[in-house]
Amino acid sequence: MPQDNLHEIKGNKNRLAPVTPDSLTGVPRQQTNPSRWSGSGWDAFVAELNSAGVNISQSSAARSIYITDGGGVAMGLPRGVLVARSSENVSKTLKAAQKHRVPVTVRGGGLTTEGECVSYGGLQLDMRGMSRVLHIDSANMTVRAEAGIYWHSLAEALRRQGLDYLSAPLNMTSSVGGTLGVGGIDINSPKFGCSADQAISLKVVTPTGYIVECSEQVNPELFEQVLLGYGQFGVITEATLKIRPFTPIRMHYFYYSSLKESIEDLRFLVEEEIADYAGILTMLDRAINLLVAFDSDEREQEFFSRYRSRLRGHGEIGFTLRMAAHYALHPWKVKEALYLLERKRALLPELSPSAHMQDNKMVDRTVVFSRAVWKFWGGRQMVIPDLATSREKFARAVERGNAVCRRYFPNYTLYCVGIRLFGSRPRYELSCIPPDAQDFAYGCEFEPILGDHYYSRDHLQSFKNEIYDIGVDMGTSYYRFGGMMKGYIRRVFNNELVDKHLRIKQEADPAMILNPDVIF
Amino acid sequence: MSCPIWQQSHEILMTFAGRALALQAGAEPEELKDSVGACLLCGSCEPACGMGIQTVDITLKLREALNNGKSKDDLPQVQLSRSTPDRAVLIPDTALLKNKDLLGRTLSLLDIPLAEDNGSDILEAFENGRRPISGRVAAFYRELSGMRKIVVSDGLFKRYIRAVLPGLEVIGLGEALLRLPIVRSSLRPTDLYIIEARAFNADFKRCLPFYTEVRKQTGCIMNLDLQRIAIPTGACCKAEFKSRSAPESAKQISWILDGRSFDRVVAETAEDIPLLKKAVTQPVMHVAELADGETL
Repeated sequence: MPQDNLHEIKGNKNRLAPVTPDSLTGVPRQQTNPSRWSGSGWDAFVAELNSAGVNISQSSAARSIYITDGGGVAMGLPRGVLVARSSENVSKTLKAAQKHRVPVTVRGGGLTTEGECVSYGGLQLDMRGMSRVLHIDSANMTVRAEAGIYWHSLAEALRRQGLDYLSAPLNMTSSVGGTLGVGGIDINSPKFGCSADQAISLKVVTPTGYIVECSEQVNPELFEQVLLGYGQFGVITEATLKIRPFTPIRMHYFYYSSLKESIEDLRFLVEEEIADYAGILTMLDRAINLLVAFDSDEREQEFFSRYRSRLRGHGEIGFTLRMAAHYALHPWKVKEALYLLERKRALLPELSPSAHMQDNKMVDRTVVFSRAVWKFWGGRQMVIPDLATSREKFARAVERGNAVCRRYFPNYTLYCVGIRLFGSRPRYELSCIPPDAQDFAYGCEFEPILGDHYYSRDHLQSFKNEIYDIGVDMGTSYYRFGGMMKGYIRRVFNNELVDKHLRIKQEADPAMILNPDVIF
Repeated sequence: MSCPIWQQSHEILMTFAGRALALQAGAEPEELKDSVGACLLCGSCEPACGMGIQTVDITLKLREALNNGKSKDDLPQVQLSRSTPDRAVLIPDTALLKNKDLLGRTLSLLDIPLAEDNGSDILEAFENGRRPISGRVAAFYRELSGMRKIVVSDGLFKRYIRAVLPGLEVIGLGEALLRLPIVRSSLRPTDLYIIEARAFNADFKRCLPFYTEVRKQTGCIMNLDLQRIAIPTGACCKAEFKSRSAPESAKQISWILDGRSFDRVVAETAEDIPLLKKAVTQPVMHVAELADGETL
């Protein structure tokens, strides 16, 4: 950040705010936990909330369960925990937090990887206490739900009426509010965009405690700030979302030996809007799986009659024969061949479990994929640095990231998807959507298979930094750029843009108490 | 997500996941008393756990610790005779035992005798983390050791009997009855079938394919969530120190029924029937009564 600009903000006492040092220019490449908040004002804060009927739990058992997030690298302990039960008690909490300058860190499913939802000594606000489905409107195809609800629980309620959400992350414990705040990617994002783009309206508690309804028509500025806003501009307590009729999906897998070819074919499927679901999941550099799926038989038939021949991927039998020939000519790679065989033997049945299939169609894609991901890629920690790029930069970024993976880990997986964009919405600014992306953006997660191996925190952090350095070099964005990776924000976005958002943040959150250490 | 306490409280500390995290961070069982006491021991967290943790066993050990009791490891290990005769027996829960008509119908369908000792005091002690009176357990198992197969109407017994008599076939009453063609063929596509969750979840890997086949064959709907984990009614729970946060059966049943359309409810356990009758206007029957109804 330019020093004169910094002085300008610091010079204004009304806008004086504790901006942490590593949100500024010249940040260290390897981040560590933010420092613990001193606790000044805590007792008065708790007493005020208690008298207002909002009870903060301060027992060590209650606090200790929030010690880390999905990433398992950042560690912090809140001074107290509030399980949110209503917008009103969130409002009281944020008003008191502004007054006593108590940091409030919001948590949904806790699946951040860089400590974004970890509290370093302040209040942990657990939104999952607000998990009710409030109203399903099947005539207008919308649902209103409290924002702490897991997408999976929302799907549970919708399914009983033959309905489904449009798009949500493929895991069981992502919350609606948390996802809307960062984006949310599914294998149907080429069709529906990121999860945040299915929001119709939101109830938001602003950092100063006002309860505000917002949408594209009502308070549109706040609506755009909060969506993909990384929790900086308010707490989403309720959301109205678009929904659709539930359809089982027909899955197809095509196999490639070339990463470049698979990416080109993914782009073809995405940009020509050929499939309802598409994504790449690699097993080895020379064993790449392009997943293609359809909501209807008609779409599937159209794909096979018009487009299948244009894909360069092979079916399972064809690919197995090719791989057998390859390893016959390269016998010294027998270990790699055995790894692949074992992976295929164990993984494929998991992708079509009888209890979740109906007439050869998959009925619960979130359950099937999240279980498979946990079983085959899961470990003690989620280490999944990513790059989010425009179509032009995608293949090169993935290839460079793949080369980094190769140097750090024996086994790893790349997960690539396309994301439909809806014009140039303000919400896309300073977000996972790359500024140079038009119509579609692309994302790739680089996931080492940690298994039972122990890797030091430095090893994992250095790996992440090398992936993120590619982003700086190529001018991409990232899905996860907050928390311990926030040092990259000013390196990848320009100072002018970050300062613009910082000013909005300081205006909205004078004491800078809401989700500190995430972006600023 | 399948946990009934989670469903009703949405407080992570009240769930097994919360207890596990707190214990890892050094919490004492006493600090988790409310959470431990609220658990229905339905086992819905076990199939959901990606790490394969024996969640119910850990919760029971915590109950024992709260009672300053001894560990389940102290249970006698009864050796099965190599020449185990081809015998089976039904261990009914108290509600089934009291309903003479239903019990008679069940025994007649299964064509097996009733266990002389239904061990309800042992099960209650087990559920509450207490040790039964000395010698009582050994006497109970002496009778069972001569069996090949045991049918239990309270699924928690599956865990307990297996701990002592590994290798013995222990199945839930619902499964035993659904194995009979006369019962299975009477299920209709418009039925809501209420599985006894403790029996199903305790034996998830084996029960899931069985019940999936029944579901696909008959077209009925079941009290399974999207993970195909059985949603408990909570009626079987006998926890003495049931905490204030324990899930209410009426809310559980409401969650099971919500958004589902059906013409008839069929329940595996007698204890669920009065609760279900209160909640719905459609006919409610026990699975053993299916054999008397019209067939498809």
